[in-house]
Formats: sequence, structure tokens, C-alpha cells
Amino acid sequence: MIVSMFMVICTIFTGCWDKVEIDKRSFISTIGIDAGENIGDIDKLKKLKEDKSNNEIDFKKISVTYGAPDISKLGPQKSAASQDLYLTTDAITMEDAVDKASAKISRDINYGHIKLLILSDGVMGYPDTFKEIVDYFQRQSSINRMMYVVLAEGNAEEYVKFKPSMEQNIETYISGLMQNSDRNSTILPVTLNELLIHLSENGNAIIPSLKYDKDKNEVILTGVALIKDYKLKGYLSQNETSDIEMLRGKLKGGKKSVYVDGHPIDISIENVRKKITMSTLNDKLFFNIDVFIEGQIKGYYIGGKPLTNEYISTIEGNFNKSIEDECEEVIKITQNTFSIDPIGFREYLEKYHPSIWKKKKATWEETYKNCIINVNVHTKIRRIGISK
Amino acid sequence: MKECINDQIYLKTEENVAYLKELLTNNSDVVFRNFFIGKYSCALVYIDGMGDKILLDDYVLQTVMLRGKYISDVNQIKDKLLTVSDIKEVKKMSEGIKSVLSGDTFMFVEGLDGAYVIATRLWPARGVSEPSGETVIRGGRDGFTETIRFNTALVRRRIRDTRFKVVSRSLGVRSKTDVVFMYIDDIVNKEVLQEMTERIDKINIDAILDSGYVEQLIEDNNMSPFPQTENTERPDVVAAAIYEGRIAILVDNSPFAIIVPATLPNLFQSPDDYNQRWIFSSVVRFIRLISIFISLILPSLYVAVTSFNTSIIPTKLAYFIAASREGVPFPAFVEAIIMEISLAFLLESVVRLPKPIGATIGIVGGLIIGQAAVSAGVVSPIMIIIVSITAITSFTTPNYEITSAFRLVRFILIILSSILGLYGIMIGLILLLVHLCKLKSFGIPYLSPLVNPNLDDFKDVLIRAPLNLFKSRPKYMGTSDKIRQR
Amino acid sequence: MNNKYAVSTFGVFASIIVATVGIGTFSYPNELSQFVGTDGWFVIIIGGAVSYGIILILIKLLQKNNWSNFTLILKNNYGNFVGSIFALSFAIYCIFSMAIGIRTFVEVMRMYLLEKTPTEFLIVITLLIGVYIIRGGLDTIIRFNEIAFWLMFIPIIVVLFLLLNNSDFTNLFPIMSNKPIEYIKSLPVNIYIFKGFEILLLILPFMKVKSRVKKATFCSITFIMVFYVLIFIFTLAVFTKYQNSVLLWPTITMIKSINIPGSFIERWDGIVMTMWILFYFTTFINSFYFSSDIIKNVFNLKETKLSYIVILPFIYLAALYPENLLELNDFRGVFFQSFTMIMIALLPLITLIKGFMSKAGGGGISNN
Repeated sequence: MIVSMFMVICTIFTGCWDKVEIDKRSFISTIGIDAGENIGDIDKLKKLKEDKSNNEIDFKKISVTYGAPDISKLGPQKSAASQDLYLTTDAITMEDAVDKASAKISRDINYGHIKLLILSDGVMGYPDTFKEIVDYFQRQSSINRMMYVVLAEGNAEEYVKFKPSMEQNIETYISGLMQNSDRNSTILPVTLNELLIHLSENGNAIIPSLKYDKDKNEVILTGVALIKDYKLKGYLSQNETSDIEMLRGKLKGGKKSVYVDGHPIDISIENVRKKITMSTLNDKLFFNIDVFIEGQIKGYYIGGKPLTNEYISTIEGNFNKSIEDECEEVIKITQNTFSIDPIGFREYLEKYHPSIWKKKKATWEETYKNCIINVNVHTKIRRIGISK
Repeated sequence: MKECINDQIYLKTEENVAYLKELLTNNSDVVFRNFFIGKYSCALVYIDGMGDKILLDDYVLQTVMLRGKYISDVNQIKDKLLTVSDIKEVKKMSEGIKSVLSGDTFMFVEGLDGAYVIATRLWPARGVSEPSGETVIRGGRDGFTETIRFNTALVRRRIRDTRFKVVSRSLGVRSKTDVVFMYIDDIVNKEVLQEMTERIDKINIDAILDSGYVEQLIEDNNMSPFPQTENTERPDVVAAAIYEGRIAILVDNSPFAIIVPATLPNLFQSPDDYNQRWIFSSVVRFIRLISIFISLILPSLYVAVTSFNTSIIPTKLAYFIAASREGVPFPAFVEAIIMEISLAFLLESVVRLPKPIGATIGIVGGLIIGQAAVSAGVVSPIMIIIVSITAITSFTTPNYEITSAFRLVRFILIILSSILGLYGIMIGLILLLVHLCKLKSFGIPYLSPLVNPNLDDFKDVLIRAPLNLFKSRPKYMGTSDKIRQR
Repeated sequence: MNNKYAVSTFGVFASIIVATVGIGTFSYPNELSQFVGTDGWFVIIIGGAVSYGIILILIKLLQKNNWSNFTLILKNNYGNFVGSIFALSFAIYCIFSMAIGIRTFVEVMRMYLLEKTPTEFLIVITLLIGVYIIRGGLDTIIRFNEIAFWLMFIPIIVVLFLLLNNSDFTNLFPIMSNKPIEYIKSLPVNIYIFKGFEILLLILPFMKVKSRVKKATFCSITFIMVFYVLIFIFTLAVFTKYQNSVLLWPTITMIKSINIPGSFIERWDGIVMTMWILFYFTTFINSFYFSSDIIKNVFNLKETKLSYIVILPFIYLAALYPENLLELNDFRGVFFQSFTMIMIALLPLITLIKGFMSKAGGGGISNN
């Protein structure tokens, strides 16, 4: 008994290895990834021999910007205005960037509290590099999988350094925006977890996209970007995004309008459910999506026709037709222009009709392009506010 | 160590008195009174200060000296003359001397081949008052005093059963302290009783000064920081324990009774829980459990979280802690140790200080020094909060010994967490758990009824079930009589 | 110490569960998804049924041999020398499984909690704590198992509730769309996760109420099976089968992804790591005690306390032998799986059959 205690005590006093004081850590809250100068010359890397030492190469494949809050300004007696510290490094890979950054920063880089990842469209044009970046994030145990991912048009570095007017730093701004998706249907929040799951399925994903308006000094969300096979394929506008959300059945809130006599009637959408059914005819697939919407009339005009039951049914009918047309438009775009299936037909087939899926798996892109998709919208307006 | 006393009582009073005077030389408080009952020469021996002089004057001396002439036979003195209620005849000198030293009066009568011992114990004793260490909101306000007879009386008032036994022993070669164990014959676990009796009989020490001595000499494992016996100053706690099948030990000169066997959940109970209604008691028990857990791990958790894994706490809190620790010269581990040690200093000094100064020092030490330390930047404000929460939560247990045991464990956990972070805390907690699993109190596992659980026993551990569900006695005690209520 | 120590029914129940559910819990969804995608739950149920079958064999063996301890059974049935060899090989199997367990445990610990601490140090600490625990003897271990049972499973159930928000149960489809060969290929995973119930060979001879044996073991296997199926379903619901196949420890990553807005604990990985430590420890100390007991009986040492000193260096060396996790996984591959099956299934079966065939199979000396 005493012997074991003695041994324990001896081993304990050999030291502590992992201890890093909290004030010696730097909590990275944002990462921005840009394409480096030399990214076009990737072929040069292919010529490197596997067993030669390649650590001296100065190849600026990506440029990573780290943003962290300035801790000393966040003390208990001081106001909560945090100014960020930024650090930009050029590197070959993400891990290389961490390595080079730790030579420049006095604190220990810590990923535990990261909130936002900004990918620039430049780096998205190179699928090989993107695959390396995705693997890095998938492999790290300490990365927060709930961080938001956005795609930025232009240089990610500017976005990281951007100071929004309402918040102190960009990640609070973006996370606030993402949480606003409850109200605004054009916002589609994507966390790292979801992104990795989608990418591991088939290399396709959708990421919200940002745009920086220099004149007004604002950063705005402009819909989503579509990724196919780890490469940026295109964008969907805000309206199209909200339609896709609705078709996925994940819309939590939003607004659509119908016009009557030149006056818009605003219908705020409260609840969306979807149901996919499928039929085959001559080896061609027919999908039917039934979308059930519950809404509330938020805006009308004074002096218009009083909102009676039949009138509301007419409004509902108009609404259904307009949304159906819009949605079918969007679906055609995804089919023809992008060949990406964001709505989930593939999963539907795989889950509920596995035998058909086995046959179509190899030629899914072709099949998706050629299948006929019908959208049926059923709206129910539940509330009209407190006045007639 | 053994005393050599002549056992024989002489027929002649003068010889007895002479022997005693020689044995007890240099004792100025021993009183010898020679007198005559009729024609028999007698003597009284007692100790001034311990013998009740009024009883001797009024009921012994007055009676015998006034009425003594009516006695014809020596043997009638006890039965027909002495108007004293508690008197017994002894044949051995040593017994009588022991009684004298305990406060009784030794009476020699010429021609009698023995002597009488008259019970005249009276000494200055404290009145019955509420014990300061175990206050309750609802319940009796009496507590044990230093006189063993008063204490047994207080317990007897609560147990008026013929099967209630009060067995006495005398421990300590020089102190000859009276020790009494109390139990109810048909409830108690006979094996525990036998084990305990054996252990007590094995004690061979020169003096027992307090029940603490007895406790330490009979306990199972004296290397463990956890007490394996319960001690209390309250008679209602003792009575409740006896009703559960446990045994209470009272030691003369000590207001603390020992209750054997004790399990860890027992040490977390207070009579308040039973005297009040069950919903509130259950909430209080639950709060106690959580607060003990917090007091155990909070400082080590702070050290682990700030030094090793910061990703567990919310981001804003992490920033806040980091900001408030800027400029603090010591690492978190040293801070925690410093605060723990200064808390220990403070507690110790407050106990020793005289009452009027004690309260002030508590406030001064706690508030002002703490505040000054933060302003000087020596300690971060988070640490002060943590230490105060730890201190408050550690005092929610009704039992002081458990608090000290947990203080020790907390200290070890802080050290472990500074080496291995969260893993260190888990290792410490697992070691603690295993240690508690190993511990036994007189054959009953220390963690009963959490181990070997019978569903019935759970009604008294984490919550307190309504009283009408308390139908049987705790099963882990192995009592002979199992039904408590129908 | 009380020589008449008797294990209660709950003690047996808790000990079997706690000794079986160990580190496998955290990685098995990955292997199952790799082979059979979404149908892992079916494979687990098969595994549970097979395990119960093996348990019945073990119980029969003990019953036939009058509930004496395992080494004595082997010695009686095969003669002193060969019986000792078999017993020793059983002990070696325990040592191997402990070594693999320790190494996996320490590697994951390093991955998530302590990145720079040397592996040797962590292994030594874990071993020393194991030593402290088994010095208390069998009754301490049973008590520890009983408490650890509550401490392990109540938080996990709570955590599973918290995951409901994030999960999409339609990920469980399609059902049964794999070729049968895939199911067969995934059966060895069951060996890894159901291994551990051989502890009943140690405990059952001490059981208080022997008539409840079948009920207790049945309940424990059912509990384990249900628990594993639940965890698998939840990992599928949170990740899809594709991610499941990629992540090395899906259960840990799943718990890490819990996000309750506004709660005090923002990231749950630290909490789950602490729970995980308890899962591992219970498996480890039960195995440790069993192997020490066997060695004590084989060499007729007076006390268990000496035998564990013999075992310690072997575990240490065996744990450090593989270079990294992938080599460890190979180590844990076909060779070890077949070794396991031989030890816990074949050996008792052969002994039982031998006992039936030879008439003198019954007279075992009852436990000391």
C-alpha cells in the first residue's frame, strides 16, 4: 500500500506537460482562407519526389487569416468592446499556416472557441486544395464542429477584418445573422458538421455566400453558393435560396408576397412541411413534392377588399400557383445548370427505394437531369393579424 | 500501570481508616469523619467537592447519630437505619476506593465484614443546553453534558422499552472512566454488537479523556480520512440511531456520544430531515448532495479548465476568465493552493480565537484581505468567487468530520488536476470512490445502502420519502426485528 | 475480511454490464457502418443472442462443476498440468485484452484531453490505480461495479436525450439492403464489444441466490444489447452512414456536437471524456482481478496481492508494443478475435462436453 503510494508520488512530481495558462492562449474566433499567389502552379508540386526533403519550399498555396479577440480589453472592469487581433500567413496547407503563425504570435493558438470559417471564392476554384482543407478540419479533434461556414466573394482577409456597425466583430455578426434564419428565409445556416456530412456523401454542398459592398461598407448575405465535387459551381440568389429551403422542408420563417391590384399582400410563413413521392414510367423518374405551408397575413392595404373566407381561399390559390412556378424554375436551374440535388431526392431514393437506387446510383447525374419534378404547394393562412 | 490496592476490608474501623489515610496521603481534599452509631465506631470517607455534603449531613449523619442508639445489630444499619436510597455493600476495598474517587462515600462500620458505599455523587456540572455544533430548526434543544448519568437519562426519556439495554464498562487503568453502551436487544445486529464489545474489551490504556479516544481505538481503519463512527451531542440523534439497530457509546466526561456502525449516508443526515415534511427535506438533502460535490471539485475544476481544456466553458466565460487573469503573477494552480491554504489558516484561527474577536476576524480576513488581494492584482477575482463558494458549500454537511475529510480530498484533487487536467480529477474521484468502497464500519460496508441496494433502502438516502412509507428498518443493517411501522 | 462474501443479484447484473461495456462503445459504430451501413443494429442483436448462448454454456459449466472457481474446474477436468496451461492461456488472453484496452484508452485520452503528456506516464498511472483498486479484494470490486453502473448509465441516457434535437432518424433507412456476406463480415465487431462477460466465471461462484443466475445474466445481456443498439441508432441519426464510416470514434464526436444554446457547458467533449474514463476503468479492473485470481490459483500463491505484481510488467510491455492506433487495430484483428472466441467460447464448451462424457466430472472442490 505504502509502496504504491510512494510510486504514485514519484511519478506525479515528474511534471505537467499539457498545462498552458489561460492567459497564454489565444482564442481564435475566425479563420479566413484565401488563395495564395502560387496557387495556379499546383502542377509544380506534383513533380516533387516523395522521399526528398521538401520542407524548405516557399510555396504560397493558401493565405490564412486568423482573427482573435483582444483579451486584455475584455476585463471585468472594462467595457466589452473588443478589438480584434489579426494575423495573416501564407502557407502550403492549414497545418503549415498554424506552424508559421505560431512563430509570429506570442500565445498558444487554440481552436476550441472558433465560431466562423470564411472561404473565399478564389480558393474554391481549386478542388484539390479544397479537399486538403476539408480533410484538415475533419481530422482535428479540437475544432468546434458547430462553427458556421460561409463563402465570401473576394478576399477573405477583408471580411475577417471587417467591423460591422452593430456588433464588435464579424463572427458575432455572422452568427447573429445565421440565427436570424428563424425570421428570414433567405438565410441558410450551415455548420461545419453539416458541411462535412454532405461533402462526405458525394462531394456536393451548399454554403451561404457573403458579399462586401464597399460603397456602403456593409457585408450582406446574398443567398448560397453551390459546391459540386469540391468545386464552386455557382450561386443561387436570395429568393432562390428561400425556395430551396422551402423545398427541403427546413424553412423556419420568411416572407412571400402576392400582388392584388398592384398592392402586395405579405404572407409570413410560419411552418413548412414537405413530402416526396415518386413514380416511375419507362425507366424515367417522376418526383412529386408536396409542400404544406402555414402562414399569416402580415401586410395588406387599407381600403382593400375585406378579408373574408372565400377571398382568403383565392389568395391562397394564387399563392400556391406563384410559389409552384417559382420552385419549379429553381429546380430546373439546379437540374440543368448545376446538376446538383440540394433538395434531397437522392437521399429519398436511397432510403425508401433502395432497389431503384442501386440501379441508378452510377448514373445519378444523368437521371437527375432528366427526371420530371412536380411541385404542389398547399398553403393555409392561419392568422390575419388583429384587424380585418 | 496497575494499581496495587489491598482488597481486604478490616473489621476494625481504625485499621481501615489508617490504611486509607496512607494510601491517599498528600490529598488535602479527602475527608475522614469518625462517628459512633450507638456503640459501633464508624467512619465516612469522601472527597470534598465531589461528595454531596448535604445528603451526608441530613440523611446519614443526622439519622445515625440521633437514632443510632436503637440499633442492636450491625447488619441492621443498612436496612433499618440509614435513610439513604442508594446504598450498597461492598466486600472489596478496591471497589470502595474506586467509588470514593468517583464521588461516592465509603462508610466503615465496626464489626461488619464489608463496608457500605453511599451514592453521593454531586459535582459542578453544566446545565443542559443546545449543542452549538449541531443546531436544528425544529427539534429538541437539549444536548449531552459531561456527566454520564444525565446523558443516559436523556436517552432513556426517548426509549422506554424494557428491551433497551444500558451496559457499562470501565475503561482506562488510571482514569477508570465509565463507558456505557446502549442498544435495543431485539433490534440490534448481534454480530456488530459482539465485534464492538470485543474491541472495547481489548482497550488497555491508562486514561480515556474523551470519547474521541474510544472512537480512535475501536475504529476499523485509522489511515482513512473518513470517520467510521458517527459522533453527536444530541440525544434525539442517539435515540433514532438506536431504533435503527445501531449501538451508542457514551463516555463519562464527554458530551459526545459515539454511534456505531456508521455509513456515509448516515453522516449526511440531520434530525431536521425527519422532523420536517418530506418534500422540503428531500430538497434539502438534494441540495446537500450537490453542494458537497461542488465543494469537492470546484477549485480543481477551475484549475483543469483554465490550464488544460478551455473548450468546455462557454466562449464568453473563457474570454472573461482570460481577461481577469491578465497580469496575475501566479499560474492558476498556485493560486488555488494559496487560497486553499489561507482558507485553512482562517478556519483554524477562528476556532481558537475568543468569541468577541472571532467574528470580526472572520469578516476582516474574508472580505477585506480578499478584496485587497484582488485590487493588488495578486489573485484573480474569479478565484475569490470560487473559494467563497467552496467554503460555503463545504459547510452544508451536518457533520464536521466529513467536512475536514473532504477538505483533504479537495486538496489532493487540486494537485492531481494540475498535472493531468480533467483526467486527474477523474482519477482522484475514482480513487476516492474506491477508497469509500473498501471502507467498512464494523462489518457494514461504508457506502451502504448505495451498494447492495434494496429498493427499500433508497427511501432515505437521496431523498426522504414520506414517513408512512418507512415501514421497515434499513435492510443493510441486518437487524433482527425488521418491521418499524405497519 | 468476511470470508462468506456473497454477491447480490444486482451485483452480478451490474458487474457483467460494466465489465462488458467498455471502450468499444466509442468506436464500434464506425466499423459497423463500414460493413453494413445502416443495419448495424441487426448485427448487434445477433451478437447479443450469440453472447447469451455462450453465457448459458458458461453457466452450465459452472453448475456441473459445483460452482468452484475456474482454475479448479480446468485442473479437475484436464489434470493438473494441462489444466494449468489452459488457465494460464486464459490469463494471457486477459492480459492481451487489457493491454489493447489500455493502449486504446491512453491514445484517445491523448487525442482529446492531454496532447503532450507521454503515453508511458499515462499507462503507469492507470496501472497503479488498477493496483490500488484490486488490493481491496473481490467485495470492493463488486461494490465499485455497482456504483459505477449508476454513474455510467444515467449520464449517458441524459446525453442521449439532449441529442434528440440534432438527430434525423430517417437516416436509418434503408433497412436490410445489404448483401448477406456483409453481415457475416461484420460479426467480428460483436466480439470486440460483447467481450467481457467472462467475468461471470469469477463472480457466479460467489452469488448469494444461485437460482436467479439465468435471470440476472439474461437481464444484463439484454441491457447491453439495447444500449449498444441505441447508441448506434443515435450515431446514425446524427451523422449519416457515410460520416460514420469515416470518423474513428463516432460516439465521442456525436456527443461533442451537442449544442444547447445558453447552457453552462457549451462543449460536451470534456464531460464525455470523463464518463469514458469510468467505462474503461470498470472493464480494466474486472479483467485485472480475474487474471490475478487465475495466476494465484495456478501457482497456489497465498494471496491475490502477489500475483498482480507479476502481471503488471507484461501489460506495460504489451501496451507499448504497437506503434500507433492503426497497428493496434491490426493487433486487434483476426488473431486476437479468434483467440477470444477460443478462450471464452470453445474452451468452456469443450470442458463441458468432456465433463458430460467422463463420469467423474462433478466433484470440484468448492471455493476456498
